[in-house]
Amino acid sequence: MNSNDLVKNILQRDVDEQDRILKSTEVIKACPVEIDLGNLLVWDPNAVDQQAYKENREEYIKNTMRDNMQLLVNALWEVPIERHDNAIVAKLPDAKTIVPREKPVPKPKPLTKWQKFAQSKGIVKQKKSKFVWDEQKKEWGRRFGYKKANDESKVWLMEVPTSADPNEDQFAKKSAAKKERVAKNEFQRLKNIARANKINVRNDGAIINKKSTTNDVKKALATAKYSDASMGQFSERAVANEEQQTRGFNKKRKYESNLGSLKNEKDKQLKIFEQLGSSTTK
Amino acid sequence: MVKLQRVQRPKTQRGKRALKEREPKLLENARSLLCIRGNKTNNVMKVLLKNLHLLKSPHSKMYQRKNLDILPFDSTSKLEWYCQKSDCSLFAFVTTNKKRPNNLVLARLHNHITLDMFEFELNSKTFRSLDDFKCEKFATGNKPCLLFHGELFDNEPDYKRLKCFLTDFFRGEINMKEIDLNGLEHVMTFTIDSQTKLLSIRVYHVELKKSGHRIPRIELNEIGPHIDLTVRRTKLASDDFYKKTLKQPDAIKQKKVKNVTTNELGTKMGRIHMEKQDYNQLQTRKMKGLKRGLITENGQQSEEKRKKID
Repeated sequence: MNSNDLVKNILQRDVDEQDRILKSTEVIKACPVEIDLGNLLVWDPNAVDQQAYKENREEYIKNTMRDNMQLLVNALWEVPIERHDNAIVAKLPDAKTIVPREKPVPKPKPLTKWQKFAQSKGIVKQKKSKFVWDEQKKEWGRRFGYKKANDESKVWLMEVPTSADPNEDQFAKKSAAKKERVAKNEFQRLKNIARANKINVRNDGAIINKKSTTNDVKKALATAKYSDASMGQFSERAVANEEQQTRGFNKKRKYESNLGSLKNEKDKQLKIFEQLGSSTTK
Repeated sequence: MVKLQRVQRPKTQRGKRALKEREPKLLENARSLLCIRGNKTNNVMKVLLKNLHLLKSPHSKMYQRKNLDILPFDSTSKLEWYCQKSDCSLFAFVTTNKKRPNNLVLARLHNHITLDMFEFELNSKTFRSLDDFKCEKFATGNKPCLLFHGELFDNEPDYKRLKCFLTDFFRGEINMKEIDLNGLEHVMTFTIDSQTKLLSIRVYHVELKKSGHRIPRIELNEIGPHIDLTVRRTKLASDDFYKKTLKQPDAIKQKKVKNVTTNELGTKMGRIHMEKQDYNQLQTRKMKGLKRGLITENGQQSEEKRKKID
């Protein structure tokens, strides 16, 4: 063989060898590496090579981590694959490392009175249609919400029943009945909450066996203060800092003294005057 | 607090949805990070905090103002309150003073109560921020691959907890069932040296290069913050509290499907278990000729029938 050819062959072999190493996805480790695909986590239990670490820390870290990442990718490419449009997607297994939760496990909510009743009777919720036929407008409208069909508040004509008082305002009666129903619903909702949180509530809404908070004491003090005939104007202070304590719970309005500074009074009046003229206040 | 929320209903749908997000769930949200500065911070620490915020975004909230009189190792109540307000379960608190220069406190919470808290010292000489690496970074919200190296992570209990802590801190989205194979953009590596107990955090961008076959060859390029930390103090949760937080709800556990297997060709096979059948009572197509009564040894009855037809 020609010496030239020989050299070429050797060089070619070298290049091939280089290529093979660069393209290789093989990694050899002393200790097998723990891979948790669910968390995309790799734990390398091999000892840190102290000599390489001291010589060139960055290089050493980069090389070991490249190897670890290669192992992760090798494991990841073994996993079953799906095709979603243009993307190739790997189905990850469950995470192996158990990590503490952010919040506690949700407790199932206690059933409300109606839910218990429905369960015992076997009543199932019927799915209702979103749109209802409005006979008056002759079109489909929402069952509830903005511009709902069969809106009872927009009724302009009502027949007075024969048994009713002719001077009675039927429209007012209707709106009062609606308010009653809304208030009753709210009341039932609050009762459900009280029952769920095991708070004993009396008929008038007062809480039995309730532990008083600071606000409750303040409220009690304020109530006691304004419970006399002159609404607490002339009674003595119960506590030294009584005004501070009862700040949010006073009933009587505070008036400025008649003999105060004229400047303050003038400023106040001017402020009201400005607000009347401005367009930003309601 | 929760009781009050139910008594006062949310007035808008948006408010209702926001409250629902904050409720405890079966499949949880990703842990959010709250970045806070302490009484006195220097430039390096401010940059570090900003980097952590960017690494964890969009699951991260940065508080802009300085906060006086927060000492995490004395009392975490104020920090816990801020986390409850912003619905975060991780916080990063940064200070510097003469006694503890370049101080970083990382903590995670459970139900807005501090679980584990680690205080680190940053090596400001070797620190390089995201801005110092002029190259393409990763998309925000991308799930990083986490690589841990160092025997200390397995040997000492404090560092074992630290490994779990760092996984929890940086892992991003939880319960991911699928991942786009081209979406593996960045890797966070944690190397700990047993002698100096130095924790090196490096962030690399992943390049998938052609190898001879299906599995690509990996090359790494450093992109992210270059952080060297030493652990100063730790405040770990008691074992029972920690065990309580590990409890997973039963509803998530995958139910075992019985009697269904997939054979090597990929076909789904099922097994059906039948009850014992009485073959005499089987419902088949009725063929009159086969009727019990008609068949005799001589075949007499059948002859009679034939006569009738004729």
